[in-house]
Amino acid sequence: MKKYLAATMTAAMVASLAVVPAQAEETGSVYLLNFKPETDEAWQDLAAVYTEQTGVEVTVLTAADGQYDTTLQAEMAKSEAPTIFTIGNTSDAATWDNYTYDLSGSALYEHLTDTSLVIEYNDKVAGIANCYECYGIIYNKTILDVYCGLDGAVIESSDAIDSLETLIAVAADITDRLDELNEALADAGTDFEVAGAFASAGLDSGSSWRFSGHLAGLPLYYEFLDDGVDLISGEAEIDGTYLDNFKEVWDMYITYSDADAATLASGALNAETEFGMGEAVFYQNGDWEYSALTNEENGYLVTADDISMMPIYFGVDDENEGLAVGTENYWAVNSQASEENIAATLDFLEWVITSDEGRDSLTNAMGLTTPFDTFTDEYESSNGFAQMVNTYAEQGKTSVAWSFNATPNVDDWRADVVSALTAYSDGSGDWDAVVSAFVDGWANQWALANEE
Amino acid sequence: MAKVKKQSEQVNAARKAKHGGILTAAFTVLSLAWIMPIFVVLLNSFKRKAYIFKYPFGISSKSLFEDGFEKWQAGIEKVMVGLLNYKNALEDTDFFNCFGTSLFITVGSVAAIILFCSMTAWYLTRVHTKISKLIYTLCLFSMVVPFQMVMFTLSKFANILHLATPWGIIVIYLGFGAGLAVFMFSGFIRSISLEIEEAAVIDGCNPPQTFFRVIFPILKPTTVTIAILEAMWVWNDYLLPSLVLNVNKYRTIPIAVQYLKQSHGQLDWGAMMAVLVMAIIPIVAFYMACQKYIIEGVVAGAVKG
Amino acid sequence: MEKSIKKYFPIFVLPTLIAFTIGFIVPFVYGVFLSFCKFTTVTDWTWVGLKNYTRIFYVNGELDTTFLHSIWYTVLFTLVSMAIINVVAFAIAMALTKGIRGTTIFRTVFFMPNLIGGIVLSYIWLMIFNAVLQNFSKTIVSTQWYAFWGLIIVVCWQQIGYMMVIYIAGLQNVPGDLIEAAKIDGASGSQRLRYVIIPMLMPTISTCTFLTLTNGFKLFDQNLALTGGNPGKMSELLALNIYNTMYGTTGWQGVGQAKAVLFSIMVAVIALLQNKLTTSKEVQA
Repeated sequence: MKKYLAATMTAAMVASLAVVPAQAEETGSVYLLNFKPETDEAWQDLAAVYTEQTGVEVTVLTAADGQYDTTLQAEMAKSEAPTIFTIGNTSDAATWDNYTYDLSGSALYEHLTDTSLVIEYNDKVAGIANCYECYGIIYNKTILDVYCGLDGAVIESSDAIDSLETLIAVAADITDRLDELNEALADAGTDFEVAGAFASAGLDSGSSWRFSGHLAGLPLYYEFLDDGVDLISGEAEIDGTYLDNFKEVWDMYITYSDADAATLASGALNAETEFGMGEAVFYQNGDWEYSALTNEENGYLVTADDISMMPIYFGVDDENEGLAVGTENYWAVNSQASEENIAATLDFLEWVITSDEGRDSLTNAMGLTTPFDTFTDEYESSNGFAQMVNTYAEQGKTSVAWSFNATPNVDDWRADVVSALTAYSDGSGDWDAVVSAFVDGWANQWALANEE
Repeated sequence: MAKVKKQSEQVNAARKAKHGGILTAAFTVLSLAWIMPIFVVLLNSFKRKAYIFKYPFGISSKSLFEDGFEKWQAGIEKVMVGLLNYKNALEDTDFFNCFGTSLFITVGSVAAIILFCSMTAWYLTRVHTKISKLIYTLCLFSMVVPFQMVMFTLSKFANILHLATPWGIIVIYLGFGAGLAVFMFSGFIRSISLEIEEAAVIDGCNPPQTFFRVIFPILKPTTVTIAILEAMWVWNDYLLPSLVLNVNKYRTIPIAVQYLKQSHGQLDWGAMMAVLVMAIIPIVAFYMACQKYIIEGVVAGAVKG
Repeated sequence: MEKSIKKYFPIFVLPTLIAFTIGFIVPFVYGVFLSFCKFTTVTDWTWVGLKNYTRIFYVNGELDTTFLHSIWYTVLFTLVSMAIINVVAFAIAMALTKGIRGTTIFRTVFFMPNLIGGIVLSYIWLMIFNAVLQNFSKTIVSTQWYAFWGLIIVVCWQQIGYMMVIYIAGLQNVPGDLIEAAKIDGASGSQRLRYVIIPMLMPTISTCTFLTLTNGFKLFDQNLALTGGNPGKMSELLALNIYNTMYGTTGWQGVGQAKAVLFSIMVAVIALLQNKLTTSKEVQA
């Protein structure tokens, strides 16, 4: 009992003085705090392989979904703190500024195919993308082809949708001729039965980020482009120049959809199911949906052959616009780790992106699309949507950067935009409130996040 | 006395026959409504993911009345997936390991809480010093503090003391659960007559003997109640073990459930429902086993009237 | 006798006290300290004095009423849920100690909602609410009052069984002789309830009201899963408000911590008043 008491007392003193004991180790070790729960197993395996080959100890801990911030904050305070962690955006880079090691001289940085896939903050490369993802409008090719066969269809083939104007016309026409389309679908021998052109635009917390994050990224992108500022670091104040386009797209989503615009925030809507069951033709989301939609166990009616992705045409530069490509997963290295651990960590990361085992694991076991020049041939992504990025790039289109990564105080800013969007959609608020939440909210949150 | 009781029981039985039927019927209806949400979980644990959101309350994609029996039956086959979700859940979560961890932590914590807190409560109730008062007040206070306030400091402190194991977390649960247990034990002990204890002292018992031979048995109904309440809390708790335990080595069931969720909100709802069903079975069994003791455990006359 | 027990402090109190110090006292004191700091992790802080506390109410130089709104919304929520839970749980406990057929099953059924964690059950309830409300083109987050009653329903459903168990344990302790005596004296059912059962049950009632009070104030999981604070933070109870402050705004962990300190003080004062009120009515027979 006495021993316990002594230990408690000592520990209490240590805790209240908040002294971090210095680590003296001869060979460094690596501790990766992983962001994506679905890749946990693959990371554990990969870590074991590395330890076997080099003797360097690698710990991988994966945070549960929605718990990354909590876990990171708890783990960082521990004596064995993570040496690699994930930051998602500029806002995170600001929070963890004291902990991010400048990666500009690292092998990761050298191998990047596109050096814009980093987060620069406080004059250093704070984070490097470990994968990139794309989002756009997922569509059901099979249904669109049947639609094109109808008399007087607005377009002749699904490729003909190449602008916001055309997309709206198609969505409107599908909505007008649902019965006719469904008859044709039955005749063509499919089980699809369309209820609305667009899958529901849910504004509940499980779905609203598609709009307050991803869709909002487009007006931000075009504005940052005009202003000549860094596309993912952004600027302190925005004008909302392209919010009219945002409104046009949003109106399209909620008008040509089976969902009741007054109940978008209910949480009962599941757009993935609607699209997967062939009840909707269009669905704004990203390449992470590919495996869920094509996994047979889920019981969806669509198959890999039915689905494809097009850019979110925004009515600004539709001719040249590609898919939105970026990530919310940037590796950061803990600058407060010991020198040995930092060195071991950088070696490990280099091994991950250059060795056969590492590349195989990232591409095939984890299903990531990586931004490094070492991933060639058999290490290219097999994700059907991710492959569309190159298809559009080959057509000379420019990928849209994920400019929403610049959002200050992400959760707060988004919450205000979503609540204004909800009020606008159910008729209890007007569009000006959305603009205000977007533009004024941005300036406010920016000031708040950067005040001293 | 016994005779009077018997007579009144007969009267009661007659009254029961009159009102009991109506009450039973009313409670049957109420119970069915009460259990409906849990039934929804059970039902959906047998469905394919695609249909969980589409028909949360139905079992077939076709209507029996509109589409006829055959189509309805075919619809059931489409929607229901049998035990697939259970199979996936067992594989994805390493369920039996998690179950073992959860069981160990829950049993260990509850045993520690019951033993130590009943002792503490008795001491605090019987010894009227400033320190007793202070400790009791702090226990009450710990019940009103939101967990968010202490979660990071607690996790850091647990790390310093190397409490990241199922053994270590029992210490934390004892500390964190002490508030409720001490509060409830004290409330009951206050109503126990001092005469019983004095009699024990006259018989030559020292305080530990008095407590374990006389007081602890009397506390049985309260003990069982507290055991149930604390067991449920520990069994379902997510945030505390996730911050304290080394989750690579030890996962409780709630942690495993959380890990079924993937980034971008992807979630295998079917597997999740299946895990939940498997997780509530043991605790329902535990509750039903304990229930008997709440009712039988009252020692007539031991309680001040 | 008190004196002889007193010596046994190390056996009776110390183990609990040590665990309590580790699990609560040290983290709490440290937490209070951090409310005066700007920090990223608990070991990486700078002292900022009272700044976190002023920021609770003044944001960018303007008065911010979100926290105040959250306070009164939480108080109202707690009072309403406390009243409903206790009355219904008591009534059910009374009915289920009369020995009607099926008592065991009913007791189990009412208790079952406690057995599944708050988050998942909230999703199930969300499905149910939506199935009903969509007929009226409304959602659970259409206004703060829909959210309010939605939360009340879920919380009552979950906690009535919990309190019922405690009430049943209490009722078992009311000596049958006393009730018999009252009967023989000709007291009617409601008189027996008012003058015999309730006074005898007062310790149990203070326990249950205290528990529902603290549960109401600390409610988090159900709030997060059912309404997420929507519409526009209007249904944000205090615990969620604190949580969102910690993660919503860069560098505001300290402000969240400061809110938690204010919150603890407030609930402690209310709980103290409640405890005084109910214990004063306990019979000292």
